[in-house]
Amino acid sequence: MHIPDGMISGGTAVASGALSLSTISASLVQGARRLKERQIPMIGLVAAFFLIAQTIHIPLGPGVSAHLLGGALVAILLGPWVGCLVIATALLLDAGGLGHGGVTTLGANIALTGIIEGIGSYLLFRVLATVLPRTRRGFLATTAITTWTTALVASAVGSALITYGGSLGAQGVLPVFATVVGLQAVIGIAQATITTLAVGAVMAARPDLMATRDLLPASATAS
Amino acid sequence: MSGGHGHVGIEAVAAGDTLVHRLDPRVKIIGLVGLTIVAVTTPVGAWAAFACYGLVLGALSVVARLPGAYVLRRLMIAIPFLLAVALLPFVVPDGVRLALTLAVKATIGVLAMVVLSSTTPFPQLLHGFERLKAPGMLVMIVAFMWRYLYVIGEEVARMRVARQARGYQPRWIWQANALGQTIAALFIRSLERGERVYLAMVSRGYRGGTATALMPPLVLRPVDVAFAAALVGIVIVARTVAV
Repeated sequence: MHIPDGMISGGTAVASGALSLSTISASLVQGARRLKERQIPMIGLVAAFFLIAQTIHIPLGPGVSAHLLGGALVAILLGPWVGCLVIATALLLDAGGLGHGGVTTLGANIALTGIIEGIGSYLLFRVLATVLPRTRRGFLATTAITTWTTALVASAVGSALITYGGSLGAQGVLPVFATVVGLQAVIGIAQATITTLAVGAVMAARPDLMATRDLLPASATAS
Repeated sequence: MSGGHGHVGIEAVAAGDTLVHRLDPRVKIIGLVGLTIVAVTTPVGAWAAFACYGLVLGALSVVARLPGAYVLRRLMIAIPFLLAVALLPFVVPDGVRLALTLAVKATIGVLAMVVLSSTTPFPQLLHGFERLKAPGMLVMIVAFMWRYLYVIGEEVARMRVARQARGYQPRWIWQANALGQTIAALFIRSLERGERVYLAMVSRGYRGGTATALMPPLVLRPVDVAFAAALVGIVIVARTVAV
């Protein structure tokens, strides 16, 4: 979701900005401690890949659009901290250079895509993976459910931000939620499908690169 | 985005040499972001104030000699949002004023960023952010992202042609397999290329340090201070008087 300038109130912008800022700082600190400098080019490159993947999107309603590829893919493949950094820097350039999403709404957009779809996906994935079977199909099913769910939650929170916390006000709640969350539920199926296909392909080619590889089945090709 | 499309690219425009181009990047960053913040907090229906902000941005574009077609093209990216906002009048009471205000605010935001990115070459922009105390690691990541954006973009285009050349014409969602594999391939290539880039840097003597360490230091000149003062003055007047 890329909320443009003007759709959320000053208080909402400041609050979400503070939340995103502290999360990015935490990610940077984790990065400095765990990742070391050699990962910086890699993060930049994946961010470039994510930025380009983000440009494919479908407008869902006032100030809301669905992206074919969400934060879940990056978080499941790279982990919560790197995933959050990748998403945050991509959104930064999106707002500053490409005009997708506003500058004042960066905090909100990073919170939606980076925290809910990103870190949230990683956490949800971990939880679901303990419940679902530890097979290739189980892994992919976990991916699909995680992607769809976090995208839906993000759209719901985004709707709340632009209504209760923003310009559309409380009277816009019903129509906004109905359109945005409703459309997202449908489009989310396509998003989940593509993300799952992509994760499946990475699993087949280079499972050693994945941050969630400890959850992979013993033989990555076993069904 | 690249020059090969027959229209002007961002960096070509940003390489110009006008008064606006020569302003200190820090001043431009704070000024234009500040203008956006003020525009966003301006109440609904304050048309005179919005006109003021628009005039300021328009004047900057003119002084910077930004090509009209180029600016229009970049503004068009905001159109999907504007179309969605057009639905508002049917959904919310007093929707027309609100819809127009939101459209104006979104456009001002995009235009401000267009002016900033079109009058400041990217390395200068990064330098400005770094001097404004942005974390060094973040600046580096953004630098690499920008450097490889076009590379990845071209890879995407090549892969699309390759898919089409092999007769790939998907219609239904279950035919998206090739798309998933393309995404996976791009992702893996990005990871591996990132590793190679770092090794290349180290083997050329890189021992840490930021991208902008070798650039000439930024110095505030009187014209920078004058620009900042003028901008602040106009914006304050617009915000308080014209509302």
